[in-house]
Amino acid sequence: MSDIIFNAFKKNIMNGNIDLDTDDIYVMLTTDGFTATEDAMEFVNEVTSEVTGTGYTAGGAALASKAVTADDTDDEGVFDADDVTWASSTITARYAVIYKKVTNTTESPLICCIDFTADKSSSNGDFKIAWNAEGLLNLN
Amino acid sequence: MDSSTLTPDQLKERVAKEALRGRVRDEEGKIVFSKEQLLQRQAHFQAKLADCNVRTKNIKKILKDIEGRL
Repeated sequence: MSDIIFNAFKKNIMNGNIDLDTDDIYVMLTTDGFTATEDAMEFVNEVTSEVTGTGYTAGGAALASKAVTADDTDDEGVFDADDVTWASSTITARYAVIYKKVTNTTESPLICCIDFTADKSSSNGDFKIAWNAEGLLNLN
Repeated sequence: MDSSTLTPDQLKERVAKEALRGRVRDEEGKIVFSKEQLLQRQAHFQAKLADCNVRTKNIKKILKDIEGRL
């Protein structure tokens, strides 16, 4: 599986249900047991195989310093945020799922899923996601 | 990507690419906003706050229209 942007997100961004730099946007980690499908998933409760381990809280971590900008070089919209670190953790993850957090997981819409291309692990240390230089998410 | 897998060259490339797009990160990977960017963000969110009132008014109008059609 490669990186995917959920179709439901494309709908939600168009009708204003998701406001990337204002809403509570989270990143959760899953194992390679998770299979994301762009056209059949809409909410977080549909995500399986979330990682468990020391230093990781179910639901993942909130993104900070969220920023939306226009990249006139590549003609795209860019969503970016601070890198995320799970400190002193012992976890293994294959995917990062980005979503908008609301009260219930059944109502928390999915945004995208990032494939690390291989399992990444931390052992009583930092598990850090360094977002791509192009930003966390590009829409073009 | 797990940052531990980034080589010094990859880290350097990331910094250079982000700089081209007017973005800077500190050593912890946190975005560093310039004063100009902070002022833009302030204006952006103040405008959003003002827009909330307009949206609320519009949503009430749409709901009233739906009720009229039901």
